[in-house]
Amino acid sequence: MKRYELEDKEKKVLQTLAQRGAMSPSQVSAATWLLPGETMSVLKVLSNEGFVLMRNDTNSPDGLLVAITTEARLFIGRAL
Amino acid sequence: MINPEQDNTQAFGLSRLELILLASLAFIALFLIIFINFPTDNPNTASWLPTVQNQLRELLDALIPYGIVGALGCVVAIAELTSTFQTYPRAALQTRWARILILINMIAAVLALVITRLTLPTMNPVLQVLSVGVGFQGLIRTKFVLAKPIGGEGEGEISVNLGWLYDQFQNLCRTQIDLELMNNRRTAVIHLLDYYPSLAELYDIAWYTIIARATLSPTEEAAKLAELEKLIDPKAPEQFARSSIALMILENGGPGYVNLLLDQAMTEQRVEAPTRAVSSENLVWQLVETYSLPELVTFTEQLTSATDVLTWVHNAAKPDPNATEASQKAAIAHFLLQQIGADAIQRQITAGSTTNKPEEVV
Repeated sequence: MKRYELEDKEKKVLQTLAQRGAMSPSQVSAATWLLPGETMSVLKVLSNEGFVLMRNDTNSPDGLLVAITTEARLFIGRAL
Repeated sequence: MINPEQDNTQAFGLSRLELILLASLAFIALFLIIFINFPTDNPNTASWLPTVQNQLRELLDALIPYGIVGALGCVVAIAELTSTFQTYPRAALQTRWARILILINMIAAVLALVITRLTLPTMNPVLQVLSVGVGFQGLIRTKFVLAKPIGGEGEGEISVNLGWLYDQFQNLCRTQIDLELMNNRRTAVIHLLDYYPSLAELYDIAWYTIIARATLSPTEEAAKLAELEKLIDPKAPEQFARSSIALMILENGGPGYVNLLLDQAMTEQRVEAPTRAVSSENLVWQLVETYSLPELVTFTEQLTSATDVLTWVHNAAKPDPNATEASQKAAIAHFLLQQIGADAIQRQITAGSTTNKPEEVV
């Protein structure tokens, strides 16, 4: 993980993933009220930074699964 | 080991027949103890009864030392098995080869006592039992090093390995038990995948299983969590990830925990089935597959008049280069499920399908 400052949307997404566990990006959208496009952009940034893991999942209607990393969990525990 | 369909005929790893047999033996033993140790004072009892009681007492006195060394052999074998198969001690003890190992240990200990008694008849009986019960178990697992080169690390030493034969037998048993457990592990993993098909759910269960373990040190916990994250890595094929995470749940939680998870899933299915026609997950799939984005917007308008919900759905349905149509539809479906509820959505779908709604709302 490179950054130590999180934007509000990123914090919201990470908090949701930490509280509710692994889910699809569409579930993240629904839980955070972020629009699907916004959610994907935030998740891509967080994934590049090592805060979340994203992979394909055929059981999900949008075909993706996202989970928070342990490091990110510890990080937001300290930061939030 | 793990069969969610099986009836509850097993307890402590024994079948009902074995339990009845054990209970009968315990009852007979209890009866004999009372019968032998409490001779009757009644003058009307048969004259042969005191003689039988005396003979039985003598027989018991002769058998007790063999029982003690046999029990010690049994305890040592059980200890070896449980320390070898720490994740599945109960399942390991239930295997055929575990029973063979325990039985061989018991028989060997009893034979050792027979030989000791034949060769050293004048030896104190208590000392005989102790030396065979404890000493024999140690002896068959011992390697005597007679000479060792100075500074050498096991090379060039002269030794008599009394435990070689037992080592070979123990290795054979360990391999066979592992193979028997392999079948059980595979069955457990298949059942877990059947009842928890979602990768997200499996991941969450595995994560919780690791952090809930009381005996893991912080380092071990971190290592296991890192291992779990590797399994969810995008490079790993999906089916491999699912199976590996299910296996990880089994390895960390044990068969009892997996059975609990399966029971829970089956109970949920039984409770939900009569009350709800379609599960939330299926409802999302149904909305995504049946409706287009404009249809979903109309569907929402028919469901609610809440401005914030309508605004969000309208915006979510707008074309966006960062989101696919499937993810937009899935997001709206999940959003509706959260804001409006599954029952209202189900009713609206049913009403729509009876009046051919999707075509009407375009």
